[in-house]
Amino acid sequence: MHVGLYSEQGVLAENAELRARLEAVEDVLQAIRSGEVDALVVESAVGPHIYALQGVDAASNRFRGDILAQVSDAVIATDNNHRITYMNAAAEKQYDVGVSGALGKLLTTVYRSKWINPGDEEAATNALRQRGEWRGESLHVRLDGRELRVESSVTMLQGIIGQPEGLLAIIRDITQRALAHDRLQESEALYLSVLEVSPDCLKIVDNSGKLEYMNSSGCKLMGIDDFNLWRGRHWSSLWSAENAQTVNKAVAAARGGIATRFEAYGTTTGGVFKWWDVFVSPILDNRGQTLRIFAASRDITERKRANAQLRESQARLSHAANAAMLTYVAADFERGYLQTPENFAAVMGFAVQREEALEGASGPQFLLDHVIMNDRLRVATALGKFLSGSEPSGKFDYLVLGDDDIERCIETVWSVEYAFDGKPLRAFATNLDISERKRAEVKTQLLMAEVNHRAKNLLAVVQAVAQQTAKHDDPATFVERLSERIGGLAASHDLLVKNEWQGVDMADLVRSQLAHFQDLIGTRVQLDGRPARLTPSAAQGIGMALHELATNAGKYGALSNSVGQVQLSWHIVMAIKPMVLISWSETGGPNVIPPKRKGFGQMVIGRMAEAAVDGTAEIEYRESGISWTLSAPVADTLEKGWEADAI
Amino acid sequence: MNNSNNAVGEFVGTAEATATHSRVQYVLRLYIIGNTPQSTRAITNIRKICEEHLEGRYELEVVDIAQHPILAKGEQIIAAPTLIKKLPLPLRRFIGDMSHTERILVGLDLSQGAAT
Repeated sequence: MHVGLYSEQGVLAENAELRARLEAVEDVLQAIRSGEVDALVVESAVGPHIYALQGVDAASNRFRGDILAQVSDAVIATDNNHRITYMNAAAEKQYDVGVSGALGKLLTTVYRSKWINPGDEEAATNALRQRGEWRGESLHVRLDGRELRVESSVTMLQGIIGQPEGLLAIIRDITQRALAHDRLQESEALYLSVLEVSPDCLKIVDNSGKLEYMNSSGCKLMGIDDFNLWRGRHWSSLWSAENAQTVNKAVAAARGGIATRFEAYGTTTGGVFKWWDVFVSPILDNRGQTLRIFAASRDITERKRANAQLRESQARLSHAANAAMLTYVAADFERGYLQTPENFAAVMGFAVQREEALEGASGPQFLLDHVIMNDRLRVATALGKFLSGSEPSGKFDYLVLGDDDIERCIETVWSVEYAFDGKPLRAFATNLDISERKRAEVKTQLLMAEVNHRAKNLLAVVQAVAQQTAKHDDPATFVERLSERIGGLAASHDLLVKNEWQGVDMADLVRSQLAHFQDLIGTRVQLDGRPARLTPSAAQGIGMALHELATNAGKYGALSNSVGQVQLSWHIVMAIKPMVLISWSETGGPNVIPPKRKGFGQMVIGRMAEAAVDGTAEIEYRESGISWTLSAPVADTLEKGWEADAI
Repeated sequence: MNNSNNAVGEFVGTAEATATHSRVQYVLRLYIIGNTPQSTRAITNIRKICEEHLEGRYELEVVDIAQHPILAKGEQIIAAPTLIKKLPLPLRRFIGDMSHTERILVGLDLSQGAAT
């Protein structure tokens, strides 16, 4: 050592430092001796070396500390004053604090505890006091305000003689797990609430078909007051033996991953008969395996009943439509087809099945082919409007020649249903056979024309009768004769009205005009002739003639005494053309004196009768009685179709 | 300080010291080893002293020499537990579980009549 190398000041400073170090070492030694030191770290050439001085306990404590440091859950130890004495790395991370800054501080400087339920804190305190440990869930609010849901296991730390020295908590952050659990619970609650609000009977059964759940609506529908009494029982036990097999098959299918649907009936536990529409589906797990089976049963009793009523109603409607000769055509523009009911071909007179008659693309042409030529263009135009939906509604009638060669008048009334955007959706057309109505209309028109004609004619006749009667008779006789003659006209008129101006049967005409001698018909008045229907004009003329002849016979002729007879006959004879021959012949009456002048009566049985039938009247005043013969062409005397019968 | 029983000079000096010390930041380092009873006590005791006497003006670093022996480098020989007052100077060491509060306070210049 070369003293000369060091200054005095330097030596003093070095001495002071050495002294200080020596003091420090002495302090350490003193502390070691008094048991205040657990370990020493001594710098060496290979780095710091730790010497443990507290024996096995200290070493094991350190070992335990090393282990806790590696635990993935947060570990925090506190003393009896709630000061942190230990915190592992997981706790640092969980609460976002540094261990160095946290050690020795109150636990509340790391997080604040919040309890989930009101009684949790008291329960935890009691458990620690009584058992020395507590395990449970609570909330920890970090310094940054973030709230953690934690599961803690807290143990009371004890000294050598059992005195409490603090708490050791292992704290697991279950925020995410709890969140997921809460979500799952929410989800389950949501699903259950969805199941509960359904008006259908919803069930969950296990893979063997045993009931696990039934919603409230289902219990109500099934008449089940307490589902717990049914839980675990086989679903098929709720069904009749006949349908239980169907249910078991559906369960087996669902177990195999296949959903099925069926309709079946059954009786509720309350004994109410119901129809059900049942949907059975597997509830699959992530691997596609059936976990449970879901079954939804909808009460379709009312629907079934309504369907039955609808079918009955449709049948009645169908009968009514058939009776009314009513049919229809339904067009669906979206699907592009026409549909007709079963009676379509029958109403239209087509000797084909309805599908062939109109359904399909060739249907409209098939219909047109049966429409008579005069109506075809008109019908084609109307059909075009109907089939395109270009007009919302329409009505037209036309003649169709059926395959049975009968001409039918069909009235079609259609209407179109449109979508919001104006596109035609559906159209419906009723076809009504109005042939009878049309015939009636034609008949009415003819009748009206006939009545008009006859009325004018009758008035002319009445006028003539009045004038002629007035010429020959005194006023009192005039009134009497006019009344009789108008009565005769009225009788013929009544018959015409009764027969709707379709002519009058000869026998009926005779009986009406000889009404006063009704009792004599068959005895003194002999009638001979086959049924023959006179035209209205002939009936009027012949009726007046018969009236005059009968009146004359009653007053002056064969029927004026008690023995005279009248022979009245009508026949058709073949001459150049068929002729009607009507003959009135009197015998046994007072002797006949031919009249000196021609009265109105003679005009009626002569010219007027001839004019009515375009015929010839012959009158003979034989002494034995009057003979009157009217000969007229059949065509001018009888209604068409009656010639043959009368011959 | 509002201590009228003390001598005037001491009172003035104390008042000045208080004014000075109350602004001084303390930087402390506590060396411990694991979770031993002495270390645990040392932590809680020194933390309590700091909170009571150095509220808002101290930094306490706790070093577990079992976990971080390298941090003891430069300290020659370090016993655990040991508290080192790094600032304000002079540097001072306290060995043990820091339960001798008065001695610590004196060493930290925080004893009654010195600075609080």
